[in-house]
Amino acid sequence: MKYIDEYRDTAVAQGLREAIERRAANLKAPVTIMEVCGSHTQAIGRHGIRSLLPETIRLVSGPGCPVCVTAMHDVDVALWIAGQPDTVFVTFGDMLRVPGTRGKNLQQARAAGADIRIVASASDCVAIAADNPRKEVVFMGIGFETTASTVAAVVMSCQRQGIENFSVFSVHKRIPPALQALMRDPALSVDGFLCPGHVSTIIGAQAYRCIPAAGRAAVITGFEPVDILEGIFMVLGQILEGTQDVAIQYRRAVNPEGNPRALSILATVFRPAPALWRGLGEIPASGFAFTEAFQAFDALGKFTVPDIVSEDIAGCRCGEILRGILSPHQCPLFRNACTPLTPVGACMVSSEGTCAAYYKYH
Amino acid sequence: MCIGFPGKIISINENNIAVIDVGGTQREACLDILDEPAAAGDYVICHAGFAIHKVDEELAQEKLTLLKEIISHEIY
Repeated sequence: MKYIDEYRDTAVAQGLREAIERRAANLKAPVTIMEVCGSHTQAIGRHGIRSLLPETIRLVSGPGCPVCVTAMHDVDVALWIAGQPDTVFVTFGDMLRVPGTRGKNLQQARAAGADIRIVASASDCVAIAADNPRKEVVFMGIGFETTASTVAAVVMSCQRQGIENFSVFSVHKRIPPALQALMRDPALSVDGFLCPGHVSTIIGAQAYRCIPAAGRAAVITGFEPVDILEGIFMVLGQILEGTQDVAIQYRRAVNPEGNPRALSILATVFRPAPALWRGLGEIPASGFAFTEAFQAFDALGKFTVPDIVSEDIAGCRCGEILRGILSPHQCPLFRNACTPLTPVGACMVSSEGTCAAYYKYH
Repeated sequence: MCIGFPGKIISINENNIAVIDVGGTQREACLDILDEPAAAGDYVICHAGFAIHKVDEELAQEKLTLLKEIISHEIY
């Protein structure tokens, strides 16, 4: 496939591996590089990237799996909304098995009779709303700027079409504020970041200027083996030269200015708001709430959600894993009580979750 | 979850929905948030039912050629 096969070329990957080794030989100390995106975590495992790197380069996973960072309380609220009469609850499939308080999840709610549907695109909600005129169709908006842009476009389209029985439970997240919060944590030892490719397609390179400002390297990286190796290589270059910057490896998908059209649609429908992250707590301006003009599409405005007291899962270390402080093998539940078939924590649910990727590939 | 994949636009209908060829499989993608005007034959990056970026073929090719040259000449 064009734009995929070329980036899986063994000869190019081998050349990059040797180039990385040469650069690594000049390092004064071992380096740690965080891949922010869950798709990177999965690709690194799938292509065995770790086994290609010298011992002086350590890769750690960050908070870039939207399913994993969805707060327990938001799962509990989703379960409550999905249980309301005359409600169709729509979500991406990954969300179904994410545990809320006492391990309850949307899959169990569906088995118990709630009308919960899985879609591959938020735009599928338009037809569901048209087919169910007497029901409220609620889409659980998870994902980062990439996905939030698509949801914003669907909301605008619904407003144009006068669709009134559709709303969004927005638990979308913004990546840059989360990275800023991570970098403020003294326990985080990371020298450089592989920044998420498709989030950057939307937000561009400038959004990450907080990373070089904090003295760390940043390279916006694609998802094929050649991309990831080149991204690591570019991070090493910045570290060796001491010239931290936001560089773009994934140029075929990312313009420096991002996607202005998507950004404009995003800013029309959503505004930055505080958001709760699993493992990271509340981070200012790290979520998306509706703007005044689109309040009518806010599910939290249509339903009066009661106070729900959420309880953390005993023994689960997802929080530290999402912050790159622990690796999955250091969690006592990993491979024991917590497996992809019976996930205890959120990181074991999605195939992009750090624990699920480590379970499968390491 | 921010999975994106490249595909080639086969056709675009009156609702701005494109049929995209992804390695022989046809999928639909809405062009409402695409960064540049696109036409049949163009490659786009798709995510969750939307095309989010038009690939600049020349730029992509140039960058790949440069990478290969740098590796083979060991100056990288």
